[in-house]
Amino acid sequence: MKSNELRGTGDVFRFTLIQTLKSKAYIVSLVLLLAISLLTAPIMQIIRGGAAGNKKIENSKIEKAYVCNELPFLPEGGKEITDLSGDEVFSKVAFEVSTEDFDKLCERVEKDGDSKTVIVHPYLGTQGVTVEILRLGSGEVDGDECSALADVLCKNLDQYKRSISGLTEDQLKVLDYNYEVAVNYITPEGDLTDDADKGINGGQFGVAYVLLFVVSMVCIMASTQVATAVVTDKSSRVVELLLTSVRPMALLLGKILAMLMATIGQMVLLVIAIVASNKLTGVIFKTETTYMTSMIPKGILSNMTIPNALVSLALIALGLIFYATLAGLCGAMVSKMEELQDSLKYFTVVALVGMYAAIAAVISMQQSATNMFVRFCELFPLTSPMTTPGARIIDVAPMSYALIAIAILVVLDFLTLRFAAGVYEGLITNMGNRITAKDVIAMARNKKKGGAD
Amino acid sequence: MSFEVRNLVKSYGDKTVVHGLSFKMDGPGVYALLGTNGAGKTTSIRMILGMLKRDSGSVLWNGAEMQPEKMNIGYLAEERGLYPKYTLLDQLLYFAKLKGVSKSKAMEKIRYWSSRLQLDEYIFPPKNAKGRPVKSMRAEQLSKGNQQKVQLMAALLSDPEFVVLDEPMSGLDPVNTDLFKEVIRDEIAKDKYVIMSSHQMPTIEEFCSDITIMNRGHVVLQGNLNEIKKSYGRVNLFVKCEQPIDSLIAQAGLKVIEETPAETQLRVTGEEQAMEFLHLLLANKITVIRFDLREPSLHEIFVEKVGAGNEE
Repeated sequence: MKSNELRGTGDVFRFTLIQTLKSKAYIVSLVLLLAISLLTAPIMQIIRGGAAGNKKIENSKIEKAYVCNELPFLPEGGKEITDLSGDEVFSKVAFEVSTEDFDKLCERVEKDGDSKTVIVHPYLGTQGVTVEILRLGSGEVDGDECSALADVLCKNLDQYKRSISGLTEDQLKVLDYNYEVAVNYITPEGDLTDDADKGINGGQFGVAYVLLFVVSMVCIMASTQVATAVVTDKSSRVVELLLTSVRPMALLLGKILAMLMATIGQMVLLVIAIVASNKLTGVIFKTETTYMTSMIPKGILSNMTIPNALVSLALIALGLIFYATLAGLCGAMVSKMEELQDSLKYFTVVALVGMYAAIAAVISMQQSATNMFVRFCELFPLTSPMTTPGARIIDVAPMSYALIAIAILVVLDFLTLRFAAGVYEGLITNMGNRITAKDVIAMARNKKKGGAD
Repeated sequence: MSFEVRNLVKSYGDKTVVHGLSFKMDGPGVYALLGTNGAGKTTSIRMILGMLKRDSGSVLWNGAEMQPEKMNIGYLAEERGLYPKYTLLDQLLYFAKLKGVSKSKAMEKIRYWSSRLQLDEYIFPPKNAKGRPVKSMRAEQLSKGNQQKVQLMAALLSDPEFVVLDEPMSGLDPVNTDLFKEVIRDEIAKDKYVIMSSHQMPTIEEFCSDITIMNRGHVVLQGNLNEIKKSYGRVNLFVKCEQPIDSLIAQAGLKVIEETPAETQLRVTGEEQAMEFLHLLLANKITVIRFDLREPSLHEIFVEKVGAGNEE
């Protein structure tokens, strides 16, 4: 690519970006999306019922608590865990161990109608110990207080378990360790290689899938905008004037970069809005962990290091350039805005193939994160921008795969842009009938044969 | 400085749309590219400006291969256009920036041309009733004629050394045609190289010294307009007499080209035949009111050349 092929790219980029940012469509969509992003966290919190679970309780209306214990390892009927004298909130709660049947106790408490009384009901459930707190529906005690009381009782229960085990804190930590199976083999070079073919968990799947969805959305939005911008140049007949100053390549590249910047900028703003809204929701609802935060598994983004973030961004940007170039070519094939939808079918087919394959890859990661199909999708340029960043962040795709995927995309982008350069100027001055894919290939062939440039 | 086009050829598939176009401008001036619709004028212009790849041939500027992106070229395309949704000021600044004109210089030029082409009220609208500034209008809010003026402005913003005007006057009302002519005259006076394509022969005769007439991609006539006309000789005889002269025309064996109440246009072989006819009129005591021997007009030459080509 000659340097003068790219001369003026910056000017095209700036003009397209500014006009896009100034356009009503962009402003309206941004405002709408920002409103949705800002409102999602508080609405979710409200729907969930305020700050249940993690709301900071500063004082409690609970005055009395009946303990109806069903845990076999509490010989004193639960008295072992009811000493809350050191607790700031629940120190004044009067606990009474009940020997009544649970159902009968419930009936009695309901009959008494004491609005400040609750029932503490520890029992062995299918998942382990459950500490159930029952309050009167018409009582003064709210759900947050009950949750907070349960948390305090659970802590006491933990301490009691430790005390009866006779083990030290460190020994207890050892007991808490999870098991992980690693099957390795030694390569002929003497290196240890992971032979285990594990699937990803729900949280990891969520991260990979959300990233895939976001990248696909950005890709389709930006690419369609590039195609629209190209057709606008043609349908408004401005292109001839522009071509006296810049080469078609610069026109195309400037538009692609501007649209990417506009769309990615929009996405970044939305992410910032979501994070800010989530923080604000925590402050407003006086809770440390909002519902939105609670949905993200802890430690899921621990692999989001700077190198991984950079590699992921490079993959996404290169992928978007490829798709946007393809859409730009589709735009160049027509001269009227109303024909654009039809010409975009080539782009749509390629994008759908990429998206569906990427979705299949992410789904199959749940069974096996290193199967052949996943590995193929992590390298294949139509799918790598959608799968590899997520796979890298959840530590499924090796760095070497991500780097190879980048290299493949760089080569593909270069070739696609070259191809575009070959046919774009032939297409750009065509103001007549629609051009078919066959014509495009013929133009590329003619370009290859060479002419008197 | 010189500008030269050598043997330009362009084909689309099996169809050759420009067959070896060549011409040269040794100095500043206006060169006309003429031809019917589909003759290959716009394709040739696009090849000259580097928008279309040529199959063969070369375009030389001062002896070296012309690099349009590196030159300051003003182009008023036949397929005129502006961004309909963007403000006029924004797009004019953009076009100027692409030509390497700084923002301040571009603003200065826009103000000059806006005033000269009477576009101030659209590009720099006056403040509103509340005294607030009003945005420059969008192209879609302008009439076709005013849009054409903005496009001429865009072509001349960078004070280009090489100007290509493809059908500059088409679709303009007489007032704006005069305005455009005045601007073009000024550009010529600044010693610029101008290539003009037009179907309006009087305009070409008014501005151009050299012409190329194209038909179906072939050059059918080329050279200095005066020389071409001279080569045809004075063959158009316009006569008006008080008495009827039909029998004398037949006697002299002259061909009637057109007969109107004002005059009769005859075709003669040259000055000698015209003088013989004048003697014949006088000998027959005919009162001659008008006897005018002229060269053929460009329109006639064009029709003759292109018509002959189309009949082939």
